[in-house]
Amino acid sequence: MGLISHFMNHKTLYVHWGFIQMSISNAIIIVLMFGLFLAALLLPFPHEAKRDSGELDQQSAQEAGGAQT
Amino acid sequence: MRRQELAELESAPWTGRTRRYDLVKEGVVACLVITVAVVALATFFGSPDDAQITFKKWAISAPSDFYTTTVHELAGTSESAGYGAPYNTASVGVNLGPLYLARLAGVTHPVDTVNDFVIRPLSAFNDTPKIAAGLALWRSADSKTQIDWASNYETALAKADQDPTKVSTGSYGPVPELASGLVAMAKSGLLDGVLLSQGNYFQNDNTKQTLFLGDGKYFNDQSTAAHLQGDTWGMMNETGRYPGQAWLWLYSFWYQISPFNNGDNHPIGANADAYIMVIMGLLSLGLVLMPLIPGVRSLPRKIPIHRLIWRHYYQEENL
Amino acid sequence: MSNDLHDKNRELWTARLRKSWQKNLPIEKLLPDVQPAYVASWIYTFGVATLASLGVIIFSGLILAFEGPSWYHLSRAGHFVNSLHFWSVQLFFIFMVIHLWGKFWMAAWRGKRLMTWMTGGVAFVASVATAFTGYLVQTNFDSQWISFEAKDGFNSVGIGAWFTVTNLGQQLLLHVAFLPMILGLITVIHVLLVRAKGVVPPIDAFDRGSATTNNSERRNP
Repeated sequence: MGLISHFMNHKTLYVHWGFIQMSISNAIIIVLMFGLFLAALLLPFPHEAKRDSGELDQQSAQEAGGAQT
Repeated sequence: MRRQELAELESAPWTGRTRRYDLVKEGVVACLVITVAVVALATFFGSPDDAQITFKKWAISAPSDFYTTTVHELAGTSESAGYGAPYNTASVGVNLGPLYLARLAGVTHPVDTVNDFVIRPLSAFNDTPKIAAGLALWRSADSKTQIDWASNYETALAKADQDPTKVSTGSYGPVPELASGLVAMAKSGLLDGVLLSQGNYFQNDNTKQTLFLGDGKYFNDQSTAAHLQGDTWGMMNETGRYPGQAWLWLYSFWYQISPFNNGDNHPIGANADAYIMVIMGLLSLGLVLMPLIPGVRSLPRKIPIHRLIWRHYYQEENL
Repeated sequence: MSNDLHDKNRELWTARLRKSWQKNLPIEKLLPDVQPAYVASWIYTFGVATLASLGVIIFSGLILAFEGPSWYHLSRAGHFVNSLHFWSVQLFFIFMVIHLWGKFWMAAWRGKRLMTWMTGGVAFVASVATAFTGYLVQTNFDSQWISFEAKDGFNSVGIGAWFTVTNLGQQLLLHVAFLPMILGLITVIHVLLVRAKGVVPPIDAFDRGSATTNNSERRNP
């Protein structure tokens, strides 16, 4: 049993919007998905700036033999 | 630039700037992170597991509903009795315009609600003289007489507001005894085993039980209480406060709108299941073939979310 | 003599397969240690997150399969494994859909990558089907109701004549054996296509002005 299984095994609330009805848990999942998508687009990702790694990239490209990655 | 030329360039090996990439490490890290997340979710939330509904539970919790459903089965007026293919030929089934696909596929899973749900199971419970006599009387009559008895009793029971003690006298044959016998059999727990086994030792097909269960109000009421009915987006929902199959949102959507929710008296409403299956099949095909659909395939250019994804590249290349 | 042997080998199916494999998916592409510099966004992690979730699904599913479909109702350990299976499925679909969104907005089918998109789309549909059979074999109230309702959909188009959602035995075998095999195969093909074709270059990398028709030309004028 989960730590809050007792809480989870009761009737849930529903979000109503016109003809749309969604359980709170499903609504949380969907909002979370949009949030994750936005976060993935906006959060900075570690990358090597062009001017600092030009030589390294040339060497890597040669090692890869131009293999597509 | 011509499309073919661009395709050649975009498919050619990348000869521009590269970066170090550890594919195996990425996979291992992903597995570790996801495993930790799943273990945490499982430990904290657990998972849904609402207990199965047995015939014993049904008969004890709602004996009147069970009794009435049994009478409907004997009268041949239950939903299962009149379903059509693949269970019987009582109805032509749903159609897509001129196409009756279910009927075309045929009766591959025959179900006889009178004998499969009532008479044969009761034969294993005929210890009491009343039930034994009732079964003997039933079997001695021809099918027209059997239907007349059951229909008469069904009508009289409805007039008495489903209360057998208030039913007026009439020509009902052994129907009241058979119905009350099946209620007793269900309450004892014996009906569950007998309905599943159908006389066999090994059995794993629950079709007959599911059809019988669905003919009653009790099963449907439990589902309504759990918000699982199709017309309340039930397909997406789960029991309790757990998330359901949210990915079925589009399949569930069609059941909420006209003309699919117009009810059984309208041609599309009455056949909504078939129309929606076809729509979802086409949309699934559309998803797979999306790059070939004009208009849709050019949306990424029109709504430039890609400028966010590749912003560093565009900045560095002054694009 | 070695030339004759070489000529003879070229006609063999095995040789043809080996050469095609070496040409399209050499080991350097299968296990690279470089990737294009434009692969620099968190959106790229959702594919591997989906695969990792699938791994947990399969692992927890194997335990459930070994113990039988009723075990998890009767045992705390069983309930925990069922919970692992339940939440890994939720994460699997979350990550897969976000991965699909990302790939759509990248128009990732460009550059002769149509099959990569199509196998991904088929994988999504196959995942929905596999999950559906899973919900049918829970052996609890939810599976009773889902089978009761779903039968109408499949019966309505004739599929119910052989795909019997109320037949626990059939659905269990489909869920545990047949569909995971199909999904696994499609997933492997999809991932190998990504490796073979490479990550799609940015939109307009090759189509914006004469100064930027090819990145290598800019770096090596």
